[in-house]
Amino acid sequence: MTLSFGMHIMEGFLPLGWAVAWFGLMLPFLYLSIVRARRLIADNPRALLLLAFAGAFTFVLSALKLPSVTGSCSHPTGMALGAILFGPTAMVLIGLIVLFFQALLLAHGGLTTIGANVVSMAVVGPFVAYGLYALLKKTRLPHWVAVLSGAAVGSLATYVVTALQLALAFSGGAEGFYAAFIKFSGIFAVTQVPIAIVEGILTVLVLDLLWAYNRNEVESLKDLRTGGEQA
Amino acid sequence: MIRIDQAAYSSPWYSFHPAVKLGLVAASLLLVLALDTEIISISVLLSMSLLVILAARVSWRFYLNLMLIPLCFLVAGCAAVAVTNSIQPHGLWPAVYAGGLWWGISDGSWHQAQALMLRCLACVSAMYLLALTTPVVQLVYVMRMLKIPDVITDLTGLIYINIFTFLQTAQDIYIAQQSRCGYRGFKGQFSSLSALVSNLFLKNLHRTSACYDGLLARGFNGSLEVLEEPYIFKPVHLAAVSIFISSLLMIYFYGGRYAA
Repeated sequence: MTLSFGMHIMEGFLPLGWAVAWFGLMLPFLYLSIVRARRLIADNPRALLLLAFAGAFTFVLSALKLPSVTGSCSHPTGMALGAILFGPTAMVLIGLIVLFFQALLLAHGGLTTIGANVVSMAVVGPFVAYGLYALLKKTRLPHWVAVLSGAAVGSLATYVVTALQLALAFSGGAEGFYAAFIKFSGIFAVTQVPIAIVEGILTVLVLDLLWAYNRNEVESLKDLRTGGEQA
Repeated sequence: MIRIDQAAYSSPWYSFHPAVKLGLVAASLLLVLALDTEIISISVLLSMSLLVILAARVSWRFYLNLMLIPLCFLVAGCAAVAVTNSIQPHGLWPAVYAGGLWWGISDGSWHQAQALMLRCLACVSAMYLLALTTPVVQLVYVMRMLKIPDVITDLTGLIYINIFTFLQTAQDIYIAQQSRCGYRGFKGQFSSLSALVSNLFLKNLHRTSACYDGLLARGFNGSLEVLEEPYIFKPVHLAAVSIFISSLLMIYFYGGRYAA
């Protein structure tokens, strides 16, 4: 067992009101993700297994250790890689289940804070990562720039949203929300900024290897990304 | 390979009805968060730890290790809550002036951080009671009972099964890389890790295709039909859970009178 310094908000950290509020905010995204997954599976049952593959892959990534930069033990979230390979909409459903397993099997995150963690890691992170990646891909910049910035900015977005969630929940008393946000983002910036960069570089290297040698396999996941419209 | 999972399968509580186990933990989590007082947090932390070690027979050493996992987040998070700011240095220790405000620990923020730490530890111990006594398969069973959409339950079951083969693949690749001088130096760490991840992806994507072919040959149409293990529901367990919950409520309503 190792100490881990991820950005999962731990069990019990959020007060009941905020835990429920973030869970509620997660639901519409989850609904969209489920509706699309159902349609994909009805079209082609293979999608169920591909989604399960995506989930297990994301979980195992989060159990690996990143090259250590700060000396603390950190792990990749894999959400950016997942968003680029499987599409951000699929990542909401996958992220929920992965976070559930991370809480139960690895003790990262928690059951009461799962709503907040899904919003930061499985909604904001993947959508920002994929959005920026898709946008930059259309420009004339090299492909790796799009992947690197998508993954790094997506990882940073997750961290900013988590700091926001913590600041909202703990901004009582004399200090305002702004001061609380500075405080939480400052404390976690020490590890999260290097992690974002490392994760970005790793995503570029992994996708390079996948695209160079196995483009067909990666293309076979296209249905998950596009929702089957072009299938 | 995942020790929590192993403990759940060999737990003396394995055959208890999963809905009762989940009910106990969910009610404790809810009470700790909803009542949010130190006495309830301490009661839950103590009773859950005792249940894990004495009733569920998890070695205290392993349990202590588990409690240390979220320590980094706990310490950093509580430190952030303990440090507060004010427009004047009065009542702050150590009063440091930065960015137009005085920063330090005040009495109020110290108590808030302390209560928060106890609340987190109580919730974590309750979650461990569930994780260490209830395998995921049983939780999927409860999810089906609660009519959670079948896409979620099917995927949870499938991902759970996949996790173990994926971890095995990752471990095999890792050993192979280590024995060939992988992960040497900063650059080596990156190239080895990315090779591991991309090969993990490909190997298991092939395995997934093979699995799909196998299922298809057996009449797969998008949903998985499995036989559920019958669980024994004992009224005694339900009674024990209700006694536990009501004693927590008693502590909350009457205990505070003497503590104050």
